[in-house]
Amino acid sequence: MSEKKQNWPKALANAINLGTSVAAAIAIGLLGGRWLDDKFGTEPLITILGLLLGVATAGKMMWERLMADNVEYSPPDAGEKKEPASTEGKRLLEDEEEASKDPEDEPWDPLF
Amino acid sequence: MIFGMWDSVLFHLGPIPVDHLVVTQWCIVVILALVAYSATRDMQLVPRGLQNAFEAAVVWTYDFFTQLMDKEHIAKKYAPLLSTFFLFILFSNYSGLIPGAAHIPGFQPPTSNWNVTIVLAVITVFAVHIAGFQEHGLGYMNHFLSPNPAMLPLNLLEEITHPLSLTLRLFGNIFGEEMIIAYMLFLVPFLVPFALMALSVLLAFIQAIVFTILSASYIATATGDDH
Repeated sequence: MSEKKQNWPKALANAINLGTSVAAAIAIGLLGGRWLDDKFGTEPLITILGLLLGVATAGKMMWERLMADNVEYSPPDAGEKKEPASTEGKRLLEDEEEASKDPEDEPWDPLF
Repeated sequence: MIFGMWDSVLFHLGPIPVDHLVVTQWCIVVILALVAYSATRDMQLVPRGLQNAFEAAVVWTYDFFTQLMDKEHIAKKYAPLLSTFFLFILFSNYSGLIPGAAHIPGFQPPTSNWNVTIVLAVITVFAVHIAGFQEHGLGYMNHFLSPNPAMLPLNLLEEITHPLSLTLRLFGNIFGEEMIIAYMLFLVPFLVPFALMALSVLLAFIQAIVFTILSASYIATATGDDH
């Protein structure tokens, strides 16, 4: 949690950056393709290729961002044993474990 | 009026035409230089007054960029450039809020013109690649071929995207903000534009910090151990 708080500037910048970067990638691909088409008279071949390249680049940037965030903010390992910091914490943890138990798993007690 | 001044030349310096926003930039540079000079003119071992405030700001800045860029030597090397970006952009953005901006000859908020923002973005691009080559040598070129050589066109396009994105975001936000305030002043000249101006105080700060952080993040990516 504290790591997330410390990285707020990075998170803010990434959030603001992604939108404009995606738009810029597609715009550069499209407009660059159109410019080359005008230059070589190959309309609309390079425009389409440029647009596809822009969309692919935008997808790559989004994918990389997603993967980077997954590494930075990965949730704690589910299999990891929780260590209570105090006796109160231990009691709460035991209650939590008790509540998460499936009643079907309990051995049947005929005297109960 | 606000559009009329946008592209007009104020005077000529020999063969070079000098724009209104160039004069404003000179003023901002002079103000920043004077403040920095007065803070460091009489340096004491035990800092007091302005020197004290500046030393605290410099230490905070180093910590901030170290946290952001992971490598301390890179952060210390590029903190002066990035801090200058921040201060220059912040002063430029706020200059648009001073009464008379874009109406008094020689006073036009610089970041509301894309020529200024593209120059700042190009400086960032040079800094990013210089930092990359200094850190990794020729091995820096490998990142254009990662994860495989087929990605070269995508990686090259991504490199061009960075400066365009920096340029358009800063210019678009500040220009849009100036336009909205100008039209609101034209339509409802009393009280209503005040709320927008208050909001633009926050927006101008956010844009300055976003430009700085993104530049830092691009440098950090170029100098990171992934390459």
